[in-house]
Amino acid sequence: MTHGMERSRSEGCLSDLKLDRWVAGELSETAVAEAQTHVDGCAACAERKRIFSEAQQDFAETAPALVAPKAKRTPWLWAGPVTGLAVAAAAALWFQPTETVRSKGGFDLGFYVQSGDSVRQGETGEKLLPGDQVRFEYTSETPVHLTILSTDGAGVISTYYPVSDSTELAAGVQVSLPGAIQLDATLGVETVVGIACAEPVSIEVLKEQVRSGDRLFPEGCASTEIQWTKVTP
Amino acid sequence: MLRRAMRILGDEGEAQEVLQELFIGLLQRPAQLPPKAGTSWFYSATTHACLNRIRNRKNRGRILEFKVFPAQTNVQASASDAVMVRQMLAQLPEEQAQAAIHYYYDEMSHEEISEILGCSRRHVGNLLERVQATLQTDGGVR
Repeated sequence: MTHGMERSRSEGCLSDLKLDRWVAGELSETAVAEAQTHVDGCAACAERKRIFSEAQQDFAETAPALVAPKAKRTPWLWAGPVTGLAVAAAAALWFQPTETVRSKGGFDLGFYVQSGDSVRQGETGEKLLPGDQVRFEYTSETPVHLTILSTDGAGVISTYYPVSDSTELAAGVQVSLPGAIQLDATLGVETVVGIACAEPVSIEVLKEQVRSGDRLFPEGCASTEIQWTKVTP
Repeated sequence: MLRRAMRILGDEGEAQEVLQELFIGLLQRPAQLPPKAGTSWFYSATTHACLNRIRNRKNRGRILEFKVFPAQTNVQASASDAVMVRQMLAQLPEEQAQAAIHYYYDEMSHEEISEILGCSRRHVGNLLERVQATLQTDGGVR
């Protein structure tokens, strides 16, 4: 039975890790000599080596200048000892070079709205329609356990995130959460509270604080609020 | 790194997002980068980030069952085997999932895997035995 998990290379062929290390100049002279001997007798690995080398060469020639996020400029990237790290980081920034930092004590929550065929960045206080779809994004300087609770116009509290068990989310800037919610027909002001905690916290505990209006969340938690008003078209 | 992330996730856009988040995290918390971090460290970090994404993707699937957002249903349409493999990776304990990725996707030797995971070759062998046992049970998907 196959599972889509079978090794395809012949025994003794170079792993991607070895090729990457070779191209990055991390292999010892002895290891390079051994690898070269193998490549000289293996057309498949010779071709892989050529592809890896060309990819690195292409990237080194075309990568844009590295620009660190304004609020988080750190010198290590340029001064660090790791060959190729700056290039790798440049690659990551190059994917979305317009990323910006929005921060409220290291945690923030934003959202996008899809209404009909259009998608826009949402802003607190805006009017949304039943059927609109909302996708959240978070910014956090540290890994967090995130909970998003909503109190709709009828006073009903719902959990928008997490869907199941809480998992630690990595630190990041404007990281989109998986999935989206579709707004129901309950009209009125809906208040969404994002609570980011260093440790997992019972959702019921958080709900109770939202329900009571106290919002005295446990130590190690930061919160932020979004509001929108659901109106008829 | 992008090549590996694409192979693990089966989706270029998600691979780019995962690496973006990984490097933003490094920019924000450079102390998490070991002084002598090299290719092995980035392999490990990429693997860990991709596994997190696969597990989150599983959650997303649950969300989409109830709260549909058609424009965001970026679920890959790759072969059923690949989908099954990623479902299995989402269910495996972290260490087994990492070993499976390094062995089957990266086709590393046990020695290389032990270096990446920071454990003995015997432990790698044990991890892979458990992975193989899972693969043989319902194709790895429960």
